[in-house]
Amino acid sequence: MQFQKGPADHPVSGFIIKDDEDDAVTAKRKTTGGSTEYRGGQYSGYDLSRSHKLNKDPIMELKHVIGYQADKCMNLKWSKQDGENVVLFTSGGTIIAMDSESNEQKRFFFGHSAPVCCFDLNE
Amino acid sequence: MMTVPVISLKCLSFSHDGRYLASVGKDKHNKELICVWDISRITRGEMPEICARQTSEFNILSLKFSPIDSSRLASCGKENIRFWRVRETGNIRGSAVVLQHHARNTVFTCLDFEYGFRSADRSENESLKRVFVGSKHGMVFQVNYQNETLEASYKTNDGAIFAIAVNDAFCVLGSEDTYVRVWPLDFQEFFMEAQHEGTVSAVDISPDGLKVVCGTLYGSIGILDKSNQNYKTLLRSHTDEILAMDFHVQKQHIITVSKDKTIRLWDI
Repeated sequence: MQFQKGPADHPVSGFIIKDDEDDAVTAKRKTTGGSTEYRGGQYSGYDLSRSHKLNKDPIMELKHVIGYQADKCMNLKWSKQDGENVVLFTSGGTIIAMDSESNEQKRFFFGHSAPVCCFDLNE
Repeated sequence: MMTVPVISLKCLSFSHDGRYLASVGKDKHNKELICVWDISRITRGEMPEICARQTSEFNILSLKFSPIDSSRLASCGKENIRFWRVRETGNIRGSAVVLQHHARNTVFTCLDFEYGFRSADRSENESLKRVFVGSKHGMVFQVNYQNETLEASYKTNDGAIFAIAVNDAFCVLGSEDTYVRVWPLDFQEFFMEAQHEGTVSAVDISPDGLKVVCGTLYGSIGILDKSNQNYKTLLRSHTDEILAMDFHVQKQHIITVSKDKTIRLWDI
């Protein structure tokens, strides 16, 4: 198991806010009184490594999660993106995207403060 | 982020065009509540809105949008299979499939549409004719999509069916009897099967139709390759809280003990 030091380029993806929309969306949320009070998960839809204020060094990077939450729900899906053999599944409050050939975990979706009970994927 | 006005959430489904999201959960009065959300503007930072909602007196265990029509949904649950149509007025009208003697004491656990992710060609859409529903008695029910009638039922498993995935060529069933079986759509004789350590609770077919992923209540995920009939375990896990772990520096092993009464040695 290896932990890489320092903020990599895109260490964790699957965040709601994209680079260029960052400020605009945050500003909009403040004015609409949106979801700014949400403090449940490890990340609240915010990429820490790209934040100006929170970018402390070194930040550890998550490489792999061993765990599959196996309750009787639709909690296992193939990614519908072309050309990738990626399986998505839940492990507690995290959704993990894992490559079925290289066993590499490519994306993590954080944010829930309780175990995920169901999810669906868009095309 | 959005908060659904229910106390427990059971099922989520996107429409094929990505415009709507449907959710099912129990409301304060312990009734099933179906909400359909308009999510077409969330990429622009706007909040999703509920565009239709309906309480159902019938139990719902699974709800899915039709893969060709984003105003139609199908659901199944205890003693019922229903089709739903989203109205512009903001309610959702349901119609039940007549099940005759099959309805009694039957729990319909999962459903899927006979459909592969093919082109958005109109003529291909005509080919969606059937919906397949799995039950706790190990039966699969074939429902006509166009006129919403029960066409046939097949006895496929001894144990309850917990997961079903259908594309245009075959059907995959995951069952309590620990088998995943791949069936042709006439359910005469299965193509292949794979036995697991525990109840198979989730299956899905890859978009190219060549691989099947299955998850078990034992905490493992496996991939069944249809082309060469290979089975590969992708992941294993504890099924309960991990109480302690230690790391072997030379051999690169981790040992864990868990509340699920197992000790596991992991090779990194």
